[in-house]
Amino acid sequence: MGGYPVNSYKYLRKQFVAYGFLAPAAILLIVLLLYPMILVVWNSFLDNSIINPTPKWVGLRHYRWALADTVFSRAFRNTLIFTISSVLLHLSIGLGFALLLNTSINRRIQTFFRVLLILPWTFTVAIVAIIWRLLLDPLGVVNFLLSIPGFIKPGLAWFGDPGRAMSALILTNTWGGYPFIMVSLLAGLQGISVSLYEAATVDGANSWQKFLYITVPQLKPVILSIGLLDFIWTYRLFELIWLTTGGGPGRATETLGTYIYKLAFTQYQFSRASAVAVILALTTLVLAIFYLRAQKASD
Amino acid sequence: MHSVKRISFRVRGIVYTLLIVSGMFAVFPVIWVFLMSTRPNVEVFKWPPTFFPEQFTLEPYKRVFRDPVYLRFFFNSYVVATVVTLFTVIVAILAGYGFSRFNFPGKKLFNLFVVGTQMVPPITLLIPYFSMIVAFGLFDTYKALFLTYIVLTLPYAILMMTGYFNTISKELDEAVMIDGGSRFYALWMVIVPLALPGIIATTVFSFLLSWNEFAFALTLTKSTSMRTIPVGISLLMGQHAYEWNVMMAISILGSAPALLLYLFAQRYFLSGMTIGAIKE
Amino acid sequence: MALVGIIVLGLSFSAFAQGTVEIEFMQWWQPEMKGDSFDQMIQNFETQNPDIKVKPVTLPYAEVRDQLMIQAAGKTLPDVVGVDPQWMHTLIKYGVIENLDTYIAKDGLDVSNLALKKVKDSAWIFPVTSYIYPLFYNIDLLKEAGFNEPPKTREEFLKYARALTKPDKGQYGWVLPLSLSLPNGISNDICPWVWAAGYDIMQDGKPYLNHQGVIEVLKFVNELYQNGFLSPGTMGKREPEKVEEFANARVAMMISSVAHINILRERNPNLNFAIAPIPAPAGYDGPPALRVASWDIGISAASSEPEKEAAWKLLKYITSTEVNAFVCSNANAFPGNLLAKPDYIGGDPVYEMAYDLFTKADLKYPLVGAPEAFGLERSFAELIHGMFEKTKTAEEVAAEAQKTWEQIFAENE
Repeated sequence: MGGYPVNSYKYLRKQFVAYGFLAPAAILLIVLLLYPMILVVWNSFLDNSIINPTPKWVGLRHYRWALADTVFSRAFRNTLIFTISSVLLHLSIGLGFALLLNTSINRRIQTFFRVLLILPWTFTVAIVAIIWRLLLDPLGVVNFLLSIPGFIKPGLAWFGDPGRAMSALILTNTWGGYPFIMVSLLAGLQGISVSLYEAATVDGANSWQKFLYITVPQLKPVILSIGLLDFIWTYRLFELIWLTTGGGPGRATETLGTYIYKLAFTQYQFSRASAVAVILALTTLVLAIFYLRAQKASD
Repeated sequence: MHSVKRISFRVRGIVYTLLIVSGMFAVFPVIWVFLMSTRPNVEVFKWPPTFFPEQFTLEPYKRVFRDPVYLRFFFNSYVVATVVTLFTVIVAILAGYGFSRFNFPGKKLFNLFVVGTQMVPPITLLIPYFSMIVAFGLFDTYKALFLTYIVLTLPYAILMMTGYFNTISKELDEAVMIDGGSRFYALWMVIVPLALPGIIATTVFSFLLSWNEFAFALTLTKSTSMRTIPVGISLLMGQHAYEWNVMMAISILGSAPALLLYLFAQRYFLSGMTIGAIKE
Repeated sequence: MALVGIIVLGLSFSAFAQGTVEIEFMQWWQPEMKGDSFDQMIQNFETQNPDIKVKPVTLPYAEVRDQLMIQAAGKTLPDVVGVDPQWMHTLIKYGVIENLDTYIAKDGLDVSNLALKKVKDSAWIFPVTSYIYPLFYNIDLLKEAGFNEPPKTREEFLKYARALTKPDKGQYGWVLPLSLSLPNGISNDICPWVWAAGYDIMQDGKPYLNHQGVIEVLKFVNELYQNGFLSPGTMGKREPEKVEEFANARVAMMISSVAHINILRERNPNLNFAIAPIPAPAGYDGPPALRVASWDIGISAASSEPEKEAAWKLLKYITSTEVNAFVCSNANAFPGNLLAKPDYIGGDPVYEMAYDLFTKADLKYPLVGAPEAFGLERSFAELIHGMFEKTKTAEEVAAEAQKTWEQIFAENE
C-alpha cells in the first residue's frame, strides 16, 4: 500500500502514526505483562524463588528435571488429549449452533435462542464445576435420567472413576466453553456478504455447495484464529480441572495447568513451576507461529 | 443471512428441532441450578432426585437481596466489568487498526508478543503480578482489578480486532483519506460501524471475563467491601458445609446482567449486513 | 511563635503516639459462627481495648492456606491469622508466624489450660476450638438392618457395612471421600482406623507408614471398597458431599467432625443419628483415639511492634476462658481452653455424647509439624487409588507412601 521511498518524510510520518495507534496497548502490555513474564522465566533458572530470600542460579536444572519427570509426561499427554478433544468439540458445536442461529427464522424465536445458547458462558468457573459435579454425582440427576431407560445403573462414578473422569471433564469444558466460539463464529457469519450467496444461487448452487464453497472459505480466518486461541487457552487451563477433579483420580486428569499449580502452591517449588510454565509456553509458541503464518496468508 | 428466497417449511422444521435439542443441552444444567436455588439444602442431595422441590422456597434469593455485603459484591463486579470492557475495547480497536493497516518495524515482534502473552498460564503470573500491584500501592483497590483485567483481556481483543479489520477492505480507508479525512476519522466513522459484530463479540467477551474471574480477584483484594461476585460465591463454601442454595441463587442473579448485555448486543448481529458491498 | 509551633507539633506527635492501632485478622471463621457472633466478639474486644481497631479479613477456608503464603510473599499479611495446625511447618519454615514463647514469658501467662500444639518445643499458635471426628451412624437404618448398637470392632463394622448396603435403594454402608483436590479424607477417614488400633502414622516427627497398623487398615478399606459397601465415587468425593449424603440417609455410617452435628440438624431435622468411638480391631483394649481438627491463631512475623502487641492482646482475649466458651458455643466446637464451658452442653444430646468422648479419648492431631500436609495426604490418596484400581497391593501402597513421605520431608528440611 503506497510505495514511499523508505527514507522519505511521508514514510517516517506513517510509521509514527502506526506507533500512535499501537501505543496504548503497547504501554499497558509491556509494563503489566512483559515484566511478570520475564520474572517467571528468570525464576525458572533459580533454585527456588519467592520463598527463598537468597536464590542461586541453577541454569537448566529444573528443565532437565521436568523432562525426566513421569508426572510431567503424563500431564503433557493428558493436556494434549484434553485440549484437542475440547477444541474440536467447541468448534463443531459452536459452528453448528452459529449456523442454526444465523438462519432466517422468526426473529423473536431467533433472539430467544441466541440468548439461551449463551447461558453457560455467564457462569463463573467455580459454579460450572459445582453444577457438573452435582449433575454427574453417582447418585445425581444425569445417572438417574440415564437409568430410567436402563442405559446404566445408578451409582456410576464419572469424576470419581479414572476411566471416565477425562470424558466427564471434556464434557464439562465443552458445555462451559462453546458459547464463546459460537458468538465469534456468529459474528463472522454476519460478515459474509449476502451477494456472494445470491450469485451462487443464480449459478444454481445448492445449500451444501454454498456452505462448502462460500461459508467455509469466508469463515476460515475466523475459524483459524478462534480455534488457535481456544487451543492455547485450553492448553493452559487450570481452574476448571482443579475444581472438578484436582487432577485425579490418580493422575487421570492431571494436566500441565494443575501440575504447575501443585508445584507452586502445594510444594512451594515456584521455580520448578515456572520452568514447567515456560515449557508449556514454548510448546504453544510452535502453534502461535502457525497462526501467524496463516494470518499472513489471509492478509 | 437474509435469503431472498423463503426458507422452506421443511428446513425450518429441522432448524427448530435442532435448536430445541441444542437448547436443552445448554439449558438443562441452568434449569437445574435454578431448581437447586429454590429448595432447602437437604434436598440438593436427595435420591432419587426430585425435579420440583418438595419445599419451594425463595429464601436464598431473599438472603442475597437483604444482605448489603452481597449487594456490594454485585456493585463491585459491575463497576469493574464495565470500566474494563470500555477501556479494553477502545485500546483494542486502536491497536487492531494499527496492525491491520500498517507495516512497521517491530510489527512481527509485537504481534508475537501479543500472541505470546496468551501462552503463559495466568496462575504463574499470580505472584509476580501480586508483588507488582503491591509495589504500586494499588493493593485492595478497584484500580488493581481494572489494570489486571484489562491486561488479561487485551491480547485476545487485539487479535480479534485485527482479524475483523482485515476482512474490511482497505480501499474504504483510502476513499475517506482521498476526500481529505484523517486515518483516525476513517477508523471511527467508517471502519468501526462496519466491524460492529466483531466489536460487540469482543465487548461481550471482555465483560464476561471480568465478571467471572476469580483467582486474581481473590488475591488482589482483601476487604470484604472490595470483593466481587465469584469471590462472594466461594465464601459460601465453608470449612464444614456449603450453602448450596444460596450459591446457586447468586449464580443465577450473577448471570442475569451478562445475559442482558448479550441480549442487547446480539441485536447487532443483524442478518443482512452487507459489509462487503464495496468489495465487489 | 516558634514555641507555639513546637508545642503544637509535640502535642500532635504524642496524640499520634497514643492513637489507635489497627490490626487485621485473617480467618475463615466468621461465616462458620452463628449469626454475627464473630462480629460481636470483635466489638467486645474493641470496647475493652479502645486503642485497638480490628479489621476482619474473611476468606473461604479452601483459599486460606494459599493466601497465607501469597500475602506473606507480598508482605501484605494481616497481623493476626487463623491457622490450621497442619500448616504450621510451612509457616514456621518460611518465617510467616511469630514464636510466642517470648510473649508468654513476658506476661507470665499460665498456659497450662491451653491445648497447645508445640513444634520444636515452642509455642507458635494458640488453640481456639477443637473438633473431634467420631463415628456417626444412622440409628433408624441400623435398626432396619437388625442392629441396636453401633459397631464396636472392625469385624463388626464390616458386617454392618455389608448389611446396610442396598444399592437398589441408593443406600450404602460407609462413605469415604478421597478426592485428590481435597484429600483430607486421609486425615479424617483413614487415619482414625490406624489410631483406634493403637498405631500411628508418624513417629518422632518422622513418617511411619510401612507397618502392620497401616497395612491392615488399607486392606480393611480395600475390602469395603471392592465389595461395594462404599458410596460410589470415592475417588472423586469430597468432605462436604460426604456429609450431605449422610444427611439424606444415603449412607448409614460416616466418620466426621462434630461441627457437622449442627449442619445435619439443619439439613434434616428428622435424621435420627448418634455417635460412637471408632471401632478398633477385636481384642484391642487401649483407650479410644480420635482425630481432632482445630482452629488456631497466630501472629504475623512481618507486622510492626505496636501491631504485634495489639495482636497478642487479641490472642489472649479469644483464648480466655469466657470468650473461648462464647466462640465455641457459636461455632459448635470444643474449646481450646480446657477450662471453658460452652453452653451447648446440656443442649443437643449428641453433643453431650461428643463432649464425653472428647474428655475420655486420646486426641490425635494428624500431621502437625509435618511439612506440606496437603502434599502428604494427596500422594497417599493417589496410591490408595492405585490399590482400589488393583494396580497395587496394600503392602506396596504402604511402602511407596513411606518412601514418598520421606522424600517430601527431606525436601523440606
